Amino acid sequence: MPESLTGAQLLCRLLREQGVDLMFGYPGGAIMPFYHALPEFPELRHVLMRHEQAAAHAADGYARASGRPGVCVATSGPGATNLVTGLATAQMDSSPVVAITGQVPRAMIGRDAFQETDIIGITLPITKHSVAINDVTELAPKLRDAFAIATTGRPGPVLIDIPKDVQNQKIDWSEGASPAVSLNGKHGPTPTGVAALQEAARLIAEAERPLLMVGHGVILARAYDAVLALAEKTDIPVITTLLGISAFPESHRLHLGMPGMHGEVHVNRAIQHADLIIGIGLRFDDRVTGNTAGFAPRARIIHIELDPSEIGKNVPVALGLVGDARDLTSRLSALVASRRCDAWHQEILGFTRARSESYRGELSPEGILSGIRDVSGPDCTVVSDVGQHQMWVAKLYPYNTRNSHITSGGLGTMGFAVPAAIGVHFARPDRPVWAISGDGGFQMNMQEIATMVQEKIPVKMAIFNNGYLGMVRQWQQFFHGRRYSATPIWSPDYVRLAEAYGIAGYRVEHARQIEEAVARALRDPGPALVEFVIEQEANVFPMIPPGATLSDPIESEPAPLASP
Amino acid sequence: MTSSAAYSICVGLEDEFLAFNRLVGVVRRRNLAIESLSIGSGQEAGVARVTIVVRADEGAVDRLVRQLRKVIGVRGAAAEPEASVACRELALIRVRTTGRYAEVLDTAGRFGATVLEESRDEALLEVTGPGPMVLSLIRALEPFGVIDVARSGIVAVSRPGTTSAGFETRSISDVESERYQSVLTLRDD
Repeated sequence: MPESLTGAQLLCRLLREQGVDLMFGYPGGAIMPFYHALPEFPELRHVLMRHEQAAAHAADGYARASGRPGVCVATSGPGATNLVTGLATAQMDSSPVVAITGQVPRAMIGRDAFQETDIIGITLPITKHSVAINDVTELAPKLRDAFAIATTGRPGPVLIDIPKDVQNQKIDWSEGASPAVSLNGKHGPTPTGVAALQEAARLIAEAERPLLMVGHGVILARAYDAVLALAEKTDIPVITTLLGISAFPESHRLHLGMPGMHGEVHVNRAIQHADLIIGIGLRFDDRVTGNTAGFAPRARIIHIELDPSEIGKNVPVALGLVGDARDLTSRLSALVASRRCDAWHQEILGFTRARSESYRGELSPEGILSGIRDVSGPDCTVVSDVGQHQMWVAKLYPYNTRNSHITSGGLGTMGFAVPAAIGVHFARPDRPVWAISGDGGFQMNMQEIATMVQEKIPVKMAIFNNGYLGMVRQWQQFFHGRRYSATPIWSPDYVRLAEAYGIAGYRVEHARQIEEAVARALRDPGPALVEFVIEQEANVFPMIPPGATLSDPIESEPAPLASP
Repeated sequence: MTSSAAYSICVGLEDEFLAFNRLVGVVRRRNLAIESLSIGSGQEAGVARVTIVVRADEGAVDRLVRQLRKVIGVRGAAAEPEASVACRELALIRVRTTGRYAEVLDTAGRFGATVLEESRDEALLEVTGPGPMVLSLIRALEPFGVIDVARSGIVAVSRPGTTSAGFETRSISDVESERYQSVLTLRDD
């Protein structure tokens, strides 16, 4: 016997059907029917954020940490437009976020109604898919499609726009009447032939200086074991890209480090000397390759990648293998001959340079991060923001737990860490989560402390405070004649800010204070904040200047400018 | 670096405005030189046929086609160099005939254009042909006074006897797995 439901009630039922039990959102006029229905579904937990951008980042953080789709909800107009940065972040990093927006009633669309925006038009280029629901009968098929599209193949964000009157429309609904989702062959398994894998195995056997380069795709496909097996069987050193960090244990003898603009010298030198690079689940981003004309000049590239449009997009490849990273890597691993790379390891060892940091104070990024690591333990997830601290967090923290490093890589979204960490907490409620930001990025979304307090979310926040937008300042120092234009940035008193929110706050100015502050923050049952007052003009080294190749890093402080 | 040439890209599109919007977005943000873009029906009911004529190097065209195949709502996409497709465009041209009717008709006749309608001082011509020919007719009519022109944009199909049968309708995975088998030899130096 069919029951009569409103579109809003049906939406809640469908979210449950899709396995959703959590969403991050913010109510408003055009989404009110949904919020009216929500209390009838206590199994759907709603976290009220302080800004819709944060809702999208929280859904993204949840998705990255759990591997399940993250859901965010916003009203029409400004609510929907505030999601945009979060959706673009998810799109660039292939994160399965489902955004639900209210829209003005159908009869008002196109009349510049109050809080009307064409959010479908706005989000088309920054989502994997966006869809408008024009009648309640479209809701079930389109919502199921949306979840399937977000989570299958290369994941990505999907936006569903639902006019207010469609949320109120009645529909006769019979549970279980759910035809299979048709994706029109877009996401079918990709049977890469055995011939191509054999060719890859042959190239690996022939190579003298092979490298494995591991990206986010390995985490998304949970190809950890397959990659480990391939590396160990072939003795090939492993490089992890920014989003590939924590896909391969850093304590492993084969792990080299991060490549690219701020990659260690020996990692980039290894790339420049390699005769074979096996890239798994990455897009050879410009921050990884430097100037592509001089990238890995001696290497042939085998590219294992789910998205066929990535193969050959940024760098020419000798062999492209399209498919699931776990499946292809384990099949390749079975085919390759066991081998050693002793001479190559020795050669790479010779590329290693002593770490050159420009650090003058005693409170070093390395000291802070090892303090956080020692106190928080290996279960901890580190969510970083964007800028200098992001590079320190990527390079100086030993990631040995799978998927324990989460950051905005492709879009480089400042303000990501704090809200994303909220999402990560819900995916890993029993494990510590640190949101590490600079003083710039923290101030972009620090309003979310209120969300943590209201929802009792024990995220620990670390702020690397140097009084500058540090990465931009570094570029100004190196490439713009030290003209520090608009980069000095004032901060409030973070300890008193914490106090105002009713949470624990600590200021660390000396290395000896790190351990106690971190331990007390961690022991506190609620959210807590630790400000680290660091050297103002510290730089991230090495650095490949924009436009240069990986062979030409800046390894130490440039000479001071001659006085005029 | 290959030099740029004209390619016809045929796309099968599920009959949906949004899908067309997405397709245009993918083309637009690549900053390619679009010479023509048309949308109409193809062989299969409910699947629109889009023809994009673009001048670009082979790599850029290949990347565009692969990005287009990813778009939800795109059934298939394929690019063909100009020489392997037959291209036609239709144009309707309103032209002044005052005192020069015979000359206008003669000019039209040389391009195979026909008179659809006429009034005392005007004729409405219809012409079908390759894009450059259509343009030549318009130029030739300009001295008489062209009042209005509507061009359909180019539609293209691969020539009889060629292996390609329009845009790829097979699943993406079939196409890609075949493609990358062939990439095997690409840099095998």
